[in-house]
Amino acid sequence: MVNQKKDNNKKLYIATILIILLTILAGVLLGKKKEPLAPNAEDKEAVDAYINNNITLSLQSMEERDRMEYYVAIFLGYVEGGEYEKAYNLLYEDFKQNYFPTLESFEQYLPTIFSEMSNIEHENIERNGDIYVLWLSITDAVNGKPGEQKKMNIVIQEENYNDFAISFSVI
Amino acid sequence: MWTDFRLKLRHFFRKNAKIIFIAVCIWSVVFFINLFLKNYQAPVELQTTYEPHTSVMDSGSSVPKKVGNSVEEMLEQYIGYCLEGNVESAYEMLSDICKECSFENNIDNFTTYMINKIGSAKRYAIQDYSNNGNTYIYQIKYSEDMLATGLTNSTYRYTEEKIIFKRQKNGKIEMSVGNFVDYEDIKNVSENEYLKVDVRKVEKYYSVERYTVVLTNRSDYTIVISDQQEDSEIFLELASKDVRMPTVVSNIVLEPNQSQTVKLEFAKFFDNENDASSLTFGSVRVMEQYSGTEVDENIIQSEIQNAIAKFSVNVPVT
Repeated sequence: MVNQKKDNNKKLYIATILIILLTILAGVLLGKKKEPLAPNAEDKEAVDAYINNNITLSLQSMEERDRMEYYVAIFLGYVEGGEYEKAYNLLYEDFKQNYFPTLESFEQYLPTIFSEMSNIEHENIERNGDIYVLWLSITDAVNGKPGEQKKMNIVIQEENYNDFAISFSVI
Repeated sequence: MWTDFRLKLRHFFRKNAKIIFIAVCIWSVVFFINLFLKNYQAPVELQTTYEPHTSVMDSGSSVPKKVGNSVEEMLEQYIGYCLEGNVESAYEMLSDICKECSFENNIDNFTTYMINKIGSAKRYAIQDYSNNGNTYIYQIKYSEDMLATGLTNSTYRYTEEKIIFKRQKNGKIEMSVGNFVDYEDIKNVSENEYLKVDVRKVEKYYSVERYTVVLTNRSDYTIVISDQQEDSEIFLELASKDVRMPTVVSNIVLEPNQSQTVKLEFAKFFDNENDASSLTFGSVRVMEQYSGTEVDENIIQSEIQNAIAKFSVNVPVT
């Protein structure tokens, strides 16, 4: 009887010590909060993910209006930089079908509205449910003359931070 | 001394082995939970100012989640029916009292209303506007699919209506469109030897109250209730003593022994807690001679001065 009790106590000691060791080990291995490291510049996917993560973080601290203006800047930045496919991919699917069924048709249209460098003035913004409508005034920053402004609406639906669809009034 | 300490320690562990084991287990579980929470990255949720189930009028008031979900389902179904032209099914979703008050139980009236309101809209946005007890007032904005057009060749516009959802005692939610909120039987009568005023009912819309009143001329003279010749001919008094004039001004003239049913509409928001208290006909004239208002001003004034009786009638509406 006494021996059995001693055995049981021994098992309890061993179990207790094992639990303590395992817990400490888990604490050491998992307790360190991982800071995202800057990826290797040659790993393009990792670089994109890293940038995207940072953009999302900064968008989280922005007000809606600022986010919408940022999305407009991203879209127009692609257009001005000649990255038409990236800009095309941001368009709302039904809008594409209605006005620019092919990337080529989009590319042909762009120079008629946007110059290589445009001045964009945000005049107004309205929210209708989860849709945002922006009123812009666009001027050719290089060759534009005073009063030569084009008025345009941009419509945005934001699914999540840095995940949005865009369309604009075809003028 | 060291041996004594060892013996005491050993004795302590032997005596409390189970308690120590349980304490270590609990500590370990708490440690792991803490570790998990520290490393857990909650999914990032988009933060916007769009809160469809929080009242615009009172940001501290929200629709209960269960009701909000039902509202979304009902609206999706209702607007779906409207857009696909299934008028019968859309009409059947409305409360009986809404059908009666807003559309006179006539589906054609509803069809006309629905076409005017929704038309060719492709999108809708909902917003809880105001809550009052079990009544939830939503503002619905109908618009074209702005994302699909980018507002090309069009301007930013929408039509809007209030759709009211009322949770019944049995949990069922009733829906009313066209800003219709409520209906009450009043049946308050005030009468004298000349005139009987019977306020039958009130239909409450979001921004107006519409009273149905039966006026009976009990005399052999013409009685003028309203012809814009006197001040305060008809008004609704609120509990705060504020008064509201009719939104539509019209002449009400009763021929001898004539009975006439009139609908009087006053501006009053449903969520304004200042309830109506009485309806007043402030300048009732029993005329010996009445030539109307399209005659010379002197004749009008002379006829008023020669009136057989001039009085005010006040009928409670609570």
